[in-house]
Amino acid sequence: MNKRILLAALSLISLPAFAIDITVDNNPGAVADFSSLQDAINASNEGDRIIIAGSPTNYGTSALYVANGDGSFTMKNNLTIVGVGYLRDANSVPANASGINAAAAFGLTLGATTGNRNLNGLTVIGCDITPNLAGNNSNLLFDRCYVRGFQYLGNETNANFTRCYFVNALALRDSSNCSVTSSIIGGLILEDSSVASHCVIRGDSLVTVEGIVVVDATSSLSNCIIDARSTQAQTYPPVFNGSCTHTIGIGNAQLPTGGGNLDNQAIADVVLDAGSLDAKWALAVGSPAKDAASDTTDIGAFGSASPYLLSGLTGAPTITRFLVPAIASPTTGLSVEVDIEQPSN
Amino acid sequence: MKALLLALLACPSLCSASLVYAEYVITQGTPDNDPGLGNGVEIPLPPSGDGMDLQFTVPPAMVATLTPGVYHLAVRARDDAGFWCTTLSRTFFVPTATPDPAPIDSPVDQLELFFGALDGDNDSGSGNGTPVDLGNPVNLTNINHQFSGAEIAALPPGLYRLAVRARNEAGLWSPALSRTVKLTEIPTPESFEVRYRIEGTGGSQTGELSNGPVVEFSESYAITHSLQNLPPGPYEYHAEIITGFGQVAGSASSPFELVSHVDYWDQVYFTDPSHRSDPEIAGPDADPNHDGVSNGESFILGLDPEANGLDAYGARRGRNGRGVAFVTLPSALPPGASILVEGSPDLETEFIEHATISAPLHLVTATDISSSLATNPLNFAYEDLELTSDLDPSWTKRGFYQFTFDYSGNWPYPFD
Repeated sequence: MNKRILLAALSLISLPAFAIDITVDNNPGAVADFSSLQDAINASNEGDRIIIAGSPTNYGTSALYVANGDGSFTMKNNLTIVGVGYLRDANSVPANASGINAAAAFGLTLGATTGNRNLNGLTVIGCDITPNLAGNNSNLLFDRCYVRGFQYLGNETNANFTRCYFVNALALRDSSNCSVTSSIIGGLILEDSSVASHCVIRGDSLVTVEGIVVVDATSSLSNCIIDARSTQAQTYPPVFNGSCTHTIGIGNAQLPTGGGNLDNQAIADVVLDAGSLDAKWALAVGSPAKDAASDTTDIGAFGSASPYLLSGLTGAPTITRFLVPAIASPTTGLSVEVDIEQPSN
Repeated sequence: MKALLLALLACPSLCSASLVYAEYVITQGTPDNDPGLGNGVEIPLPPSGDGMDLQFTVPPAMVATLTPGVYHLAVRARDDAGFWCTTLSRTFFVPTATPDPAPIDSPVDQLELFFGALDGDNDSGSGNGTPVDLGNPVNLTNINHQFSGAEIAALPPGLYRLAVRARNEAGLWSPALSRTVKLTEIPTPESFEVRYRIEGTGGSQTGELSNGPVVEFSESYAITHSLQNLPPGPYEYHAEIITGFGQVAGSASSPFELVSHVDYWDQVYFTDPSHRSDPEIAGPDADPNHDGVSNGESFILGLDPEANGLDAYGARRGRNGRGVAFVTLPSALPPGASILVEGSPDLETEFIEHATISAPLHLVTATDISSSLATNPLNFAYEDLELTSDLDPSWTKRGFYQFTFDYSGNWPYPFD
C-alpha cells in the first residue's frame, strides 16, 4: 500500500474526540462555553460531560439529536449532564456568591419513535428535568434528579432512576430492564419485569385508574414506603399482582401479607412528615422502617447502600464568596478572595 | 455485591404434596432462558418434606457475576410423585457497579481563576485557568490570590469577567462564578518624560528628557545630559518622571559639586591631598615625575603627571581638541632602526585609515616644540606609520617633536 492509499484509509477511521467538560450557564454575564443547552448538546461529542449552572431561568427543551438535513439524525449518545441539584433553598443549601440557588431546569427530548432516533446512553445527574422518554432509548441513568411530568416509559431498554424526586408519577412499562431505586415518587406502575426498591410512593399522583401503585406479575417492589392516606389512594388503591416485600404502608396500602410487609401505619410513626418536599420522607425516630429492609438498611428512599440525597446534591463544590475589585491595573495587580463550600448531605 | 439476595419460598402455595427436591434459576430477559426442570441450583430441604417455608440465600459470589440489570429469580419444587409444581418467579435488580461520577463526599482539591470575555463563549476550559493554592491541609475559606502587575499587563485593557471554579477529587468542577473587572492600560512609553532642574550658587538649568520604552515601573533610568554655562560650585539636581496622564510617577533629588576640568583632573591624578595642595607638586609648571612634561602639558595631553616616564612613550591622545604625536627616543639608536608613530586626527576619534606607502618615507627633520606647546599644540596624527631614517644622534632628549616628512609625491593624504 502506498502512502496515498494509506492516508485515505486512515481518513476513514472516525476516532472519538477526547471527552471534555462543556459548560452551560444562562445567567446574565456568565462565563461558560454556551448559554444554550441545545447549543452545548449540538457541539458535544460522545462521552463529553455537560455541566449546567443553576439558574432562575429555565434552559428550555433540548433534543439529544441533530437533524442532518437529509432526513437522518445524529444522535448525541453517551453524554453526561450534571446540574447543581434542586430544592436548595428548602433544604438550606448555601447559595453561590451571586445569590443563585436555583436548580438547572430544562426539558430534554431523548430519542423518538420515528426517524431512527434511537438514543443509546445518557446520564443525567442533579438536574431539574422534564424528560421526554417516549422513544427507543437505551442505557439511561437519571441520578439525583427532580423529575417533572408524568413519566411513561415506552420501548426503553435499561432505563434506571435512582435517588430522584418525581413531582408526578412514573410508569415503568412497555420497556425492559428498567428500575427505580431510592426515589420519592407520586405514583408508580411497575410492569414488564420492572423493579422498584427503597422508594417512597407518596400516593398523590395517579398514573392510572388501576391504582395509585400497580405491580404486575412480572415486576417487583421491595423496601418501599407507600402513603395510601389520600382520597385518591383510597379510590384507586394499590394493586399487587407481583412481588411486594419489606414494604410499609401508611394508611391502608393493601399490602400483601407476609414478606416483611407492614401496613396501616401512622405517618408520624414512620417518617418525619415535616420539612421540605424530600426531607419530610426521612424516617422518624423509632420508625418501624429502621433497619427493616431486606438488605438490613432502612426501608424507604433514605435506606439502601446508595440512599437518596437531599436536594439531589452532587459532589461539585459551591463558590460561596468571591470578591473582586472593580478595577485593576498593572500597577496594582489584582487581589481576589474566595470561599468554597464542600457539599454534604 | 455486598447484599445477599434473599428469597422466601412459600411452598404450600406451590405444591401440596411432600416435597423431595427444590431448585432455583436466575434468568434475564424472556422466560425462554429457563435451563429446564431439574437444571437449576438445588435448594436444600429441611427433613420434613411436607408443606414448609423455605428460606435460602443466593450466594453473593453468584450475584457478583451478574451484570447490572433486572433479573428473574425462579423457584420450583418436585414432590415424591415426580410432579413439578408451577415455577414462581420474582424480579430483582442488580444496580450498576460503576463508580459514582458525582460522589457527595469527594473533597475539594483544585481551584482556578480565569479571565473571560463579557459575552459569548468565554470559558477557557476546565483546568486551563490559573491554579490557586489551597494549602496543605486544604483551606476552603478566606482564600486569597494576587495577580501580579505583569499578569494584568499581559491582557489587553478592557472589561473582563473574572471567573472562579473549584473541583473535587472525583474530577467534577463546579459551575464557574464570575465578576466583572476592568483592566486599565498602562501609559505608553512615549508618554513618559523626565523633567529636571539644576539649582545652585552658579545659576540654574531646566529641561526635559525623553527616555526609552518602559518595561516595568521598577525600571531604573540612567539620565545623561550636558551641563551648559554653569560655573563650578555646589548644586542640587531634581528630576521627576511624568506619566502620560500628567501625573508625577516619581521624583528624586541629589546634591553634587560641579568642578572645573583642571580641578577634576587634579582630583583624579593627585589623590594624595598633600600633593594636591603643594604647588611644587601640583602646580601647572611643576613636573613631579620629571619626564619633561609639565602638569599643564600633562593636563592637555591627558597624562598622569605623577606616573613615571614610561607613560610618555609613544603616541597619545590629548584633551580639549588638541592632537599630538609624542615620541620619546632612546638615547642610543643605531642607524637603520625604525620607530612607530600612532595618532588620531582630532584626538577624539581613532585615525582608522591605513596609508599605503608606495615608497619609504624618510624622516628629514624633527623640531622640538615643547616650549611652545601651550600656545601651539600639535594638530596632526599618523597611525601605524613606520618611518625609517638615519636619525640624528642628537635626538636623545625627551620632549615633543613635530616631524616633517619627505614623501616624494607618493603620499596620497595631506599632512595637516
